Amino acid sequence: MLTLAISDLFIPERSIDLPPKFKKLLSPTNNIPSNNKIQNVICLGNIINSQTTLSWLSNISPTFKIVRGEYDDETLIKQQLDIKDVPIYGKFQHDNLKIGYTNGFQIVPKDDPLALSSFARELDVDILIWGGTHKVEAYTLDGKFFINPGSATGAFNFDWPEEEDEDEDAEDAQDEKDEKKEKKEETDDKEINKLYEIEESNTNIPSFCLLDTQGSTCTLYIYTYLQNEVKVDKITYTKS
Amino acid sequence: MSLFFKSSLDIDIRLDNEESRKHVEIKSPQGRIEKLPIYKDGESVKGTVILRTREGKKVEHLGVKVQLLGLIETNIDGIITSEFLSLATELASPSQLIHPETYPFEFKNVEKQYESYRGKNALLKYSIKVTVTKKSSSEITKEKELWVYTYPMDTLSSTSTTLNLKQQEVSKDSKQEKAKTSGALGNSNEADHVANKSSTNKNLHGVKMDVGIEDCLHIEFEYSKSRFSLKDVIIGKIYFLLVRLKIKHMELSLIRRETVGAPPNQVTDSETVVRFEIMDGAPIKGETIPIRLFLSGFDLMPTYKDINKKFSTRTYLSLVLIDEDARRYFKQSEIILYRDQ
Amino acid sequence: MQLSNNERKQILQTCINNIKHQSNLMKSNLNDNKLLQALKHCSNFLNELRSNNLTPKQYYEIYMLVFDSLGILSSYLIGGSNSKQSNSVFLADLYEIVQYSGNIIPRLYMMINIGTTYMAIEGAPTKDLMKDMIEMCHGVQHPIRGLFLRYYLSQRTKNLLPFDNESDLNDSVEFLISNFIEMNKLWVRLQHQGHSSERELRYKERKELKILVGSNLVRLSQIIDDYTDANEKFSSIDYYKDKVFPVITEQIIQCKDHLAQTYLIDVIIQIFPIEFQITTLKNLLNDVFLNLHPMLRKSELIETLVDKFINCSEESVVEEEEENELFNQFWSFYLNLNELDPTIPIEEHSNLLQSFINLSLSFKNSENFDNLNQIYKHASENLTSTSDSDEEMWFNLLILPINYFRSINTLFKLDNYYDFYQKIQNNKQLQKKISITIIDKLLEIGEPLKDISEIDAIFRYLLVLIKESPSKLDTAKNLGITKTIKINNDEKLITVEFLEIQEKICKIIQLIESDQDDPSKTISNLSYIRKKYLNKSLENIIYTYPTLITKYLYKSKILGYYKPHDTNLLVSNFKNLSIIVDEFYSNHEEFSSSTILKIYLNIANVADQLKLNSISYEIYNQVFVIYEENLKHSKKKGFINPHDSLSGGSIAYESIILIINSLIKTRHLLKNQYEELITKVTLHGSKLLKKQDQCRAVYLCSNLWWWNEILLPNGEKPTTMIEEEKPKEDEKPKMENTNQKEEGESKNEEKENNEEEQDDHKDEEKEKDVDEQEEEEILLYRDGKRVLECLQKSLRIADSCMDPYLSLKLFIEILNKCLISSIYGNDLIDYKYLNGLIDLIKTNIDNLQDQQNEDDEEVENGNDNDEENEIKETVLLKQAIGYFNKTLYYIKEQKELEGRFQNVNIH
Repeated sequence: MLTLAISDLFIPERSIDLPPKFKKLLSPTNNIPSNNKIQNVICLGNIINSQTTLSWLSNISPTFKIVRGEYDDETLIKQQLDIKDVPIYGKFQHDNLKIGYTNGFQIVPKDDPLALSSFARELDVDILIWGGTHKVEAYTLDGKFFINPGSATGAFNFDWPEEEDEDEDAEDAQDEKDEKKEKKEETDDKEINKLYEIEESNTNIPSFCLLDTQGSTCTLYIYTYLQNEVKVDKITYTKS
Repeated sequence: MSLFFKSSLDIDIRLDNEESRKHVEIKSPQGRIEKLPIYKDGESVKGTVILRTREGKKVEHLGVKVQLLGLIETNIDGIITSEFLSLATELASPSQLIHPETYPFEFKNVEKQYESYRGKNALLKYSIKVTVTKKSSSEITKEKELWVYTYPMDTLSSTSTTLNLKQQEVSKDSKQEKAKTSGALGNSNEADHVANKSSTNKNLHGVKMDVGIEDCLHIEFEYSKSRFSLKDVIIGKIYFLLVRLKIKHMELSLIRRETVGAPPNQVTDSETVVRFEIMDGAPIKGETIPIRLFLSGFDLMPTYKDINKKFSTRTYLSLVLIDEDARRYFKQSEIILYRDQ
Repeated sequence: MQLSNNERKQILQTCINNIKHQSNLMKSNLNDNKLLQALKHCSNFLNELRSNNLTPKQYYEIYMLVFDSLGILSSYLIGGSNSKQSNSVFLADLYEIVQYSGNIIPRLYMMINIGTTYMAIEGAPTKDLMKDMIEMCHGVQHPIRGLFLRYYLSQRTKNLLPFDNESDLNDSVEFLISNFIEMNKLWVRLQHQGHSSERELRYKERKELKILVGSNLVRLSQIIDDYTDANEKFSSIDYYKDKVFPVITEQIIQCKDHLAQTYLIDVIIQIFPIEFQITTLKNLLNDVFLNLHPMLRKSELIETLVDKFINCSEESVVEEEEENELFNQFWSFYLNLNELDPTIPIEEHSNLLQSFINLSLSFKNSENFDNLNQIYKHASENLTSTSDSDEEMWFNLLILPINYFRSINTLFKLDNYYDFYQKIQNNKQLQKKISITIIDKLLEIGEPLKDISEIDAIFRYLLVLIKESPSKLDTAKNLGITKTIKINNDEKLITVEFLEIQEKICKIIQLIESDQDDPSKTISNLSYIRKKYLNKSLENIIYTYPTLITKYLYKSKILGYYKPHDTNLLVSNFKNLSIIVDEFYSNHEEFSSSTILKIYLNIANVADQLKLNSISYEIYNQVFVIYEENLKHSKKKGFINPHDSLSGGSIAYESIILIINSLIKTRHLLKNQYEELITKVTLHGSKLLKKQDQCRAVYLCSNLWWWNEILLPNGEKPTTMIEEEKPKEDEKPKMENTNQKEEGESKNEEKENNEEEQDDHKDEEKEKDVDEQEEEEILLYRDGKRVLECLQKSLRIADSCMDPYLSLKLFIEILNKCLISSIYGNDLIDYKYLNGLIDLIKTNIDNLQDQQNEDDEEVENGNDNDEENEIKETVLLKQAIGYFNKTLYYIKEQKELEGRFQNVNIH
């Protein structure tokens, strides 16, 4: 069974839309459902209140599950999708695999691996999909598989920046600027470069995940969007 | 005919080259088709007469003569026959016939003034008649009919002056015609609408006429000529200058009119020989409709005028308009037909 | 005279039967080589075409039958040829023979059939035949019969017209044009047949017959196209211009018939190639169009013509330099038309202008908007609307070019567009639609808005969406039709449409950037749109401010990293941002506090990242104000399962969790600030309404006292533990800190006594940590005792629950929390503590199991009132035991795999 895990779209608050290549990939047709390969779509929240995006997501596959993210307005989403409730977490079983999903904002500390593991334990699942960090990742801990599909739009967030060396570089640049004021043009280039690097480190890469579950095995495909190209990585998890 | 069977003598008239000579097929009133040899005006009539006795009997006679006769039969109150041509030649003096005898004869360059004709009330025929006079003042005769065609002298070089004259004739006729409201076409109840302002345009090459009904119809028609050989084609045009009638279609008819006798004792017979639709539907002002009528396929005959003061046969071209209420409007004009080589 | 449909059908059937019958007779005669008899039968079936009683459609049906039957005859005539010459003579004779037919319809059909058969033979007098046939066709003046007869002529001669040299071409063209003219006359005349009450019917019938007339022009176009002349000087374009176009358009003008003109001009435009159209364009527009029937809608023809140009724009028939000239030809026609007829209906104007717009948009020079400007200028100056429907037409004119916008620049170049847009300002709905379309296009282009002029160029179209979008629904008008959404505790209805508009505005806000991506300029641009546009409707800022603020904050973050030393700039930036948030809060306190809380938490975190601790601290205090003012007592709607620790809980509980998770990420607050804030949140947590919320909030707060490397960004050196270092900021924020501290202290008094005791230990603990951390250069805030205190506190709260099953559940949750603390190195949570907790849980489980067994007996004794309750409790107990066993299993795993919890007793 193919399940799409998608999260943190933040439309329109932090982004305009998904990369067109993602959209084409995920909904190749105009039918409903728009993708006949994906059976299940799980949205981990922070979609914000874009009606068009919600309809698009819910039309990808025959089933659509959504959990509430930190920034979602439950009242709106319920009515936009015409559903009774937007839960905080959910769970389903396919073959031998129990799969749980949540945005994770209620987990303290957020993103803490042990806290997530504890959450998975209490929820009694083999795989936990969570979101809220805008960073795609997947790892195994305590025999369980943890998946974060990142942000499908690459929406920015206010966590600590990714790159750590930037600060030093920045200060170097600052020093150079002080020293060589006459070489203004060169400095300007460097300034722009520096700005570019800062923006880079505060920008997230658009991504989503597809889970192919069968028996006790989950093959995870991680889709990322870098420099106008879609990249796919594969990770396999088998429940022991 | 039974007379011949009783007769003891067989008369056989043979014309020279009869087999190779052109024949005409004439339908008799009884529906029988007769094939008759054709002779032209001025052509010699040459042949042989063969007398044969029957069953070897001896026949005495008082003389044998052969005649070329031309006669006209008219029927007004009764049949009147008049001879306009009679030539005779003695073939044999009185003698006795035992064996078959052959007598050649020839009428040289005979002027055959009129064409053979079989009309309704008039008939004109030529024949070779052989008479064997017997003692008992009885006669044995045999007749053989010839068919005569005449070709007008000027056919090959019909000059424009003659044409011009003819046109005048035509137009005179047409003026007379306009008073005649009911003509050959019986159900033309509204024909007096054709109180018209027809006028004639003289044209070197054809006939052009203007006809109309006040505020209702105004047409102009034009034929290339008014004299046609029997193998000719009538070509013309009709211009519609004003059309307020709801015309349904338009026909061209050829009407043959035979007149026998002289007024007041005159008999006229009309026959529509050809009916030819030339237009379907109603034209609007400004339209021109072509006319083309091939004549050779029809059973027409040349125009005969006052043949021996006994009869005339004329042909009229009639243009008939039929409107949506089936009223007919027509315009007749005579055309002169002649036989062409 | 009037026939019923059934009667007509019967007549048709009789006709069909006769045709088939006679046709069969003809065939068998032909098989026997009895040609004359065959012709007689042929004439017989042709007589059916004389019928007066069929509709054009029915007539067409029998025409087709006849057409096929005549085809048999002509095949026979061609096939039966012995030698070419004899066949030629034979056909010539036959051509004459059939003319004896007394009726004109059969006569002409046979003539054409034989004539065209004859034409197909080499050496035939083709041109004479053509002339003769077309001339003789004049005899049929009946519109329908004439049209079909001439159509037959046209069909039969289709591939036989000669065009080997120019003289041939002339004759063939003349032939086609003449047939066209006559057919058109007949077609026009058909309109006037019958009673005037049947005018509509006639019109309909004529429409059905139009292709018959048009076919001549089609053939005409083909023949000119197919003709190639040895003479290089020959130009088919000139030929068309000089010999064809004037004659056919003259006929079209002269016929004065609405339908004929509409259709035939259309045909001319469609079938003659674009090069021809260019050559004759001036004449077509000014000599032809202007002379057509006054009631005729020129706009339709113009549309066809323009579409032709547009469809051919790929073929480069009009060079870029010539495009303006082309436009001017159309435009001067339009001006002429205006002059000629000042009463042109408004709709016609609109349609014409629409075509001109489309034409301009198709031009290769897509950056040239002069023509469009000219149109919009004319339109805004000359068109006046008299009704709503007029405005809808203006709308059509406005909507057209949007899809062609290639950049924001377009909107600058189209300065007259806005003037015209303002013409429909009374119809806000239409203006909104335009604006939405513009937005959609700009979003599709995705070009950033870099300066105020660009922003203004776009936002002036957005203003109507911002100002004229009352969120309040016009219930009388929209209820039941439009999908609505309830907000603000169901007190207010908004439409999905409204939300979509707000979404689009937000997306446009995303486009706002600056030259060279200067973050401070971007920030000032964002401030500009707020002041100039967004807050023009305070009611709706709730939909746009989160986006504006978030973007502002993001840019501030970039700016902070870009210019880390420009503290003044950064501080004033955050102050300006607070003003915006304040405006938001003061207008939407009631229903948006939760949103604003999250905004503040983000701001606080960013400020912390930028080491602006006083700002961060100040914002956190603001967070608590909001919490206390609006969130403390708010509840989540609906049922919350107290046993479920995985979902959130009340809004208050969730708010506490958000604050915890935000504070956990801070690294640069001053130590006293940090402690004050975490103490405050713990306190608030312990005061939540429900026991389970209190319990969970407090055990979660324990995390605040024990920083964990894992959550720390690489290379970040926290400053909270470095008290020696002076704060980066001025004195002023420091003073604020002091004030806050006092406030915090006063609140601290409410704390329980044992907590105060713990304070003393904390300092020692801290110093020890500092020592350790200095070596590693990363100083983590850790206070194991405080952690333990929190866990103890939560245990007490759990124990105080009246519901023993809930107590049990909470105990197990705390056990899990303790395991994590232990793994993260808090020595105070040792095996003894854990064993104690495990024993406590076991005891509780035993007690509850005993109790349930007793209860079961009671149930058996017939007390079934509580049955449902019993079952629920059984389930709860089962779940708790399951969770507990899993926890024990986890401990076992950790023992085996990681060597942890060695002394923890799990049996």
